[in-house]
Amino acid sequence: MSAHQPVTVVIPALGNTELLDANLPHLFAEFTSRNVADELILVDDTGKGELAVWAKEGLRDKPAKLVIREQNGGFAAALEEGIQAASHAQIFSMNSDVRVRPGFLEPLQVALASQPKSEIAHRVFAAAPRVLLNGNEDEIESFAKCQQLLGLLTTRAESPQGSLVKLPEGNALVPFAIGGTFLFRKADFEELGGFDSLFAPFYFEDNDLCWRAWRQGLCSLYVPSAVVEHHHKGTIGKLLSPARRRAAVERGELLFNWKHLDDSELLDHIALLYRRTMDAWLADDREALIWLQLALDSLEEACAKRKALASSASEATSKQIQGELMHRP
Amino acid sequence: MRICLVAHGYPPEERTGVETYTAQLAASFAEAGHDVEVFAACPDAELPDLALRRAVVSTGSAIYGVTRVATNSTPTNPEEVLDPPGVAARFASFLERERPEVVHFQHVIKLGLGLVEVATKAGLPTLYTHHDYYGCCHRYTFLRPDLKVCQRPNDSEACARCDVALGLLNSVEGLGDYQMGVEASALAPEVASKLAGLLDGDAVRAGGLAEGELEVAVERRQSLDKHRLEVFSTLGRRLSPSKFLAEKLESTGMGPVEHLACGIDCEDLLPLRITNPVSAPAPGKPLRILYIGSLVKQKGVDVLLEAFHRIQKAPGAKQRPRVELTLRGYASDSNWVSELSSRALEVGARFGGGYQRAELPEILAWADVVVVPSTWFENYPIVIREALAAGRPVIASRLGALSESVVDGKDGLLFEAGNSTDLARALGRLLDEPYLLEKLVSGIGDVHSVKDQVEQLLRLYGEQLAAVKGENFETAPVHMRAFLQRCSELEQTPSRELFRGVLGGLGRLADGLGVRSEDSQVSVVLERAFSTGDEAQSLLRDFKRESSWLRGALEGATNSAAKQSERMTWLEESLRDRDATITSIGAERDEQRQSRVGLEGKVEWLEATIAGQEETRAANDGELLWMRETITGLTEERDYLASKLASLEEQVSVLQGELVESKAGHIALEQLLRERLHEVAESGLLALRGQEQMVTAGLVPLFEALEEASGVRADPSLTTIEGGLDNLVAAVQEGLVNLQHVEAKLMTRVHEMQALSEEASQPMVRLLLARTAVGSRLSRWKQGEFIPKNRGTQ
Repeated sequence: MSAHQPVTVVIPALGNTELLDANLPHLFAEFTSRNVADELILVDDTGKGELAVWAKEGLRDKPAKLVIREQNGGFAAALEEGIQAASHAQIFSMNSDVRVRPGFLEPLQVALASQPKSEIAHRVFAAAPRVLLNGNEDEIESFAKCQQLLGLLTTRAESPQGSLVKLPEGNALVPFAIGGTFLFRKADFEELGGFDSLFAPFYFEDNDLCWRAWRQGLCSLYVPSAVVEHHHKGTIGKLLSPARRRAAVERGELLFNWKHLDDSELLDHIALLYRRTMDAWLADDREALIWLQLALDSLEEACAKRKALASSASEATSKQIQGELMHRP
Repeated sequence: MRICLVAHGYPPEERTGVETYTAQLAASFAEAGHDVEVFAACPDAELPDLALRRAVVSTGSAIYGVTRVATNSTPTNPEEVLDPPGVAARFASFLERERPEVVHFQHVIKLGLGLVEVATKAGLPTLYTHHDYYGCCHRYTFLRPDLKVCQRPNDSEACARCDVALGLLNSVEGLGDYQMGVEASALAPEVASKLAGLLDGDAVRAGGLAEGELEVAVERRQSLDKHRLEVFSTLGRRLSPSKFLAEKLESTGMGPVEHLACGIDCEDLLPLRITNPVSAPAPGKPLRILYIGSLVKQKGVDVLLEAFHRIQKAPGAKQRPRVELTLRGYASDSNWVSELSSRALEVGARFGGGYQRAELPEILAWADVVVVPSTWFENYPIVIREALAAGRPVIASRLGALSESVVDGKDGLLFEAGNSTDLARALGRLLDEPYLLEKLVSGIGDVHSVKDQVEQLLRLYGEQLAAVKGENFETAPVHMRAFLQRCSELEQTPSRELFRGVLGGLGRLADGLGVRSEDSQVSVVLERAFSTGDEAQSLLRDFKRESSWLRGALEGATNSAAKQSERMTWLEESLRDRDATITSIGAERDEQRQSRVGLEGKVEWLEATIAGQEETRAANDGELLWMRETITGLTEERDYLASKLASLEEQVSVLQGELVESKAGHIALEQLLRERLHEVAESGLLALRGQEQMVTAGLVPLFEALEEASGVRADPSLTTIEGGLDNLVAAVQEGLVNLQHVEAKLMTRVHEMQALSEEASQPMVRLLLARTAVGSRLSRWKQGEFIPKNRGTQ
């Protein structure tokens, strides 16, 4: 696969045109620099076509298309609709508050085409750039770790402040591409079934997608030579209190566990949840009870999807994936 | 609907009106299918202060929770009476767990205004039913500490006087439960006078107030009244069972107070109207009078006992049907109850003690009439509703809100509050007027039931809930709305329900994940196992609080230890400094000792000096005596010399006068002589010669005059004319010379006299000078300024 294939960049967006005005010029500059007919698909997820007016000027004479969704559906749903409209085989998904740095695409394309050094992965599914939190060089949010221990599978960012952890300088295997900012093949995405609506409205859909890929032998790779900046001016932070954002994260993690936790860990997991429940009750920790209840609201769907995943006997276990990641280059 | 009721007590520990009403309301709401949680104060010495204990109450089909907070601390000042420390925080944690949709306060005394603030801050709809005057009187009765009805509502100074007066009662021993007040008759005269002086603003009788004490009390009461008013103003709805109370409350400016009669649970009492109807007194059928309620002073039970006594002792009592009186109720004032029971025994009344609510039908079945002799305003006594529900007319004081509950002549009678004679008159009417009791029974109407009130309150709760601005999800993107709404629902769910829901969900999860499927009841078992009831949770909270306290104490101790360590270091340094100081002081001591030796020598010397000085003084005294004598002698001498001088001066004066006259005579005579002699010589020499005899004869008197004037005998030779003139001239000139000699002698004499005078005056001057010098010396010596010659200061 050539490193110079054109790429479709898909950006789901709500009505914040200031972000687009600020960040898209950098993307188009990269397109111009590469000169391989890259394209942008901007997905209007306002449900009201609010970006149409802006796009007449903002996307004029640009290699870009505007896809207007009839109803707001969130990042994952909008991204899927954008992917469907993509002209190219390689997709780079990103948030509207991400600003790319020059030359970010090429290392990702090279990584995507590379052969992973892994016993269970035969191909790279996702190539994730070095995402600088608010543009700070020492705050990298895209290097993740995972751990399956005592009945819980956790996949979290290694450290939002890279200065605390020595991050690899070269490409490295990661459990998932954080933040939905990564390069992948459209065909792989579609074969995996795209994002799981179980995690709607947000959080953990990227973890789940990448983990499903891992289980099918498709790894995720952290590519530090590709750099983008994430300025965190998106919608969720504005609309949700920290407590509710935390609730969405905790709920997502529980659902992720119920889908992907190895059978051998389930008894510990159930015991852990009972213990958490007891602790929360005794300590008047209402929030922990709310997180559990939010996840339990979707337990039937989660269990059904777990069963669907388990039907493929050739899949790697979470323990295997964890073992692979522990020895990552 | 999730309803929270708040009361200052709850049965069975507390069973007076408000508590009983709250319990009936809770049960009725629960029976109607609502979730009810009651929060009530309940001191419990077995528990840590402010510990929470939730109990599940089950009455018939009603199941609800009652959380009691152990209010074990006694308020130490008016601020703590209004807001006991820590209770509001416990209520906040209760609300956080129980998540009521509406909070209906029945009373917050003992709990504090902070509870209202907490509920308001949480954005909950709040209602407050005022059952007494707490909203406008910090003593909640409008009774002064002398048990007189307050005539100065909303007056912070009057309220402050109540505070100070209560402080006075605090200092009097043996009053029993005096918190509500003590009648003047129960106090020593001087205390009663002072109490009245304090309450009436009579500074003379009040006497003995510390400076500014009243001003401070007024300022504090103003601040507390302001706070109370602000808190009550924030309530969503203020309710009052009586119009009288509503008007009193509104007069504070807290906002509208709605009149809403309280309902009571009277289903077990209504049948008495038929099964045990009241019958008129008759011979052999006594009039049975009943008192039920609290046995506190302001309930006027003593008035009833006196009225009962009057009826029995009234003229013609034997012709009337008999009367019987039974008193039933609880009391915390053992002194007062003791007095009442003694008096009841004296007058033949039955003192039945407390009772359970379940006994009420039986108690009321016995009675023909119920008396409510309260001496305070009252509000909405439940006992009146209970009596009326049971078909028993009520005789009540004509005071405050009572005349709203009893219509005089219709379903009862009214009498002048506190007037046993008037009460006896009213009771006497029942004996004397054959159909009065029957008429009053027929005048009793329907009684407002608690079920009626539940419907009214639910409507009010609904209105309040509708007024609360809920979370608006419409502004959020569509894909987030369901999640946000679910979050909001769970946030409003009581912890217990969350816990149960999660436990149930985990059971289903285990099934779904295939962990186990054999025991579908595991979640039930787990719930029981985990929640060994609320007790375990409560204990854990207590331990958390205690451990928090211990941590605080430990931190305090650690800080204290650090401070002690610092202090130790400081003390060691201080000790070193003090050692150095002691050394220095030792050296100084040695110096002082040496100095003392020197001083002792000096003292000896001074003593010797003093002795010497005393001797000198004795000598000086002798000298002084001598000088005084000398002065006396000199004075006498001076006086003598002065008189002598005066005499001499007089002589001198005379002589000087004589001298002057002599000189004048001499000059005149010389002039005359010259003039006469020249005239005679010039013009009449011949005549003179011729007339020698005659002239000679004429000269004799002249010579005699001259002799007389000059003292010099004229020369006899002048008697001849021949050469007589020359001789005469010579004799005259000689006479002049002699006169000059006489003058010179006189002058010499004058000088001698002057010299003598001067000589005489000198001793006197010396005497005066000597006396002055001696006086000055003596004066200085007496004043201690005497300095020995040749010694100087040491």
